[in-house]
Amino acid sequence: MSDKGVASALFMAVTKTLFKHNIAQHKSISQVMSDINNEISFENTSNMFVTLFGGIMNIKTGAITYTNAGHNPTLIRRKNGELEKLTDLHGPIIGAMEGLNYREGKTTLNKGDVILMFTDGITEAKNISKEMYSDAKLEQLLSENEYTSPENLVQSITESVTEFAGEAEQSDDITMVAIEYIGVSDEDRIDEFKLKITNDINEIGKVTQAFKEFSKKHELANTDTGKFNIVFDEILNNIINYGYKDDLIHYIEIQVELYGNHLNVKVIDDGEQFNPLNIPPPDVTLDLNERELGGLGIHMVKKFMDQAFYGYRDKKNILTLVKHINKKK
Amino acid sequence: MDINVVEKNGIKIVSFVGELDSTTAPETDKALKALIEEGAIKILINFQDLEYISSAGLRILLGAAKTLSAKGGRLKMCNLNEVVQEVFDISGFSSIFSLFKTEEEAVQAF
Repeated sequence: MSDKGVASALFMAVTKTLFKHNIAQHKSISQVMSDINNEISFENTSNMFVTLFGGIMNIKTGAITYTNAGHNPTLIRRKNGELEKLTDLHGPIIGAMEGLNYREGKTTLNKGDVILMFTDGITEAKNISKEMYSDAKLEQLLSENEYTSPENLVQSITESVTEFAGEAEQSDDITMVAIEYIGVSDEDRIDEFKLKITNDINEIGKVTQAFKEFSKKHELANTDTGKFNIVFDEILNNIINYGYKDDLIHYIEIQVELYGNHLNVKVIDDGEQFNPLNIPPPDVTLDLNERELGGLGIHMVKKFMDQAFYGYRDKKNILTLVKHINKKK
Repeated sequence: MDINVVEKNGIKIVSFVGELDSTTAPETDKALKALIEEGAIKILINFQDLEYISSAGLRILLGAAKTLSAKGGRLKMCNLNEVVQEVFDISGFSSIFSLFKTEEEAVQAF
């Protein structure tokens, strides 16, 4: 971000919104950056600008395509402690001039690698003698300190910078994101099943029955089996009852993937675009005669699953659910 | 899903065997409504053999409890397994229904 203050903060908010909007359209990262640049550069009378580093990672392979628009280099700490610096630039700062075509680079993370994106407020943090924290000091910390988790890494960098700066007043924003690639690959998948049903309430039983058999085969705990089947019932009910505006037959696809310690479930339907996760939770404190059940199903889905994501792609609603599982004792 | 009914001390004890979800909710609803129409005013639902319950099932129970309460009757429930108990807790149903650990305790509470 150029400069500080309210104007910069607003400029940042606009950039962030543009980024979210553009990245959701499944364009390449270079296209996203080029489009954001055009939007921001157009009638940019204040001459403010922003540096951006953005990437898209394939979580199955660890492959990343990224575009660096005038930002300081991103660092990768390989599992063995070796550092890599993504020094390539793919275009200038965002907001300078319309019509630029940003380029992109590629890298791949392997299991246990960490990528650290940060602002120069870290490396340019000054102490009272006006010395800078420096790239060298950050790189040293990253390669020499024992790595435990992204959270700890960010924590230890913060502590190191704070300690270095001492009494000196903070002169720039300090922002960083660390991501470790834990590598869920197809090889880690123990088993899977896929099922297609039509939009008929009586079809839900096919899914719960199939899941029961899958559960039995892999000795999942009864409580997990029950929770997943409740979740299937709630989600599929919602889709079948509220998802379609016509009277035609539609197909709903259910995918279940079992990994070592968790299950991934995907429910895909071609109904009206709708994010069920946005349904507000019901008031569960009302008494018998005031109780209403709207929203209760999704409330249970959220409580029973560890993670839930919604996406809309190729005119299909895609709901992804993740839950850590227990094996029978 | 099987629904079994026995009578004990003037209490209709209903056992659900299987799961109470959108597939089995309609038949369960019919069975409970029939019991109430026949004049049952004390109903105990034993969940011992119920694997799980979804919101479609909760809807049926809520309906039965309201109808029964309007007629001056009472609905109690017992033997909830871990998942069923969790559903009742998450939905707030634990505080609107009288739940008991065992059938005996529930029968005595009528």
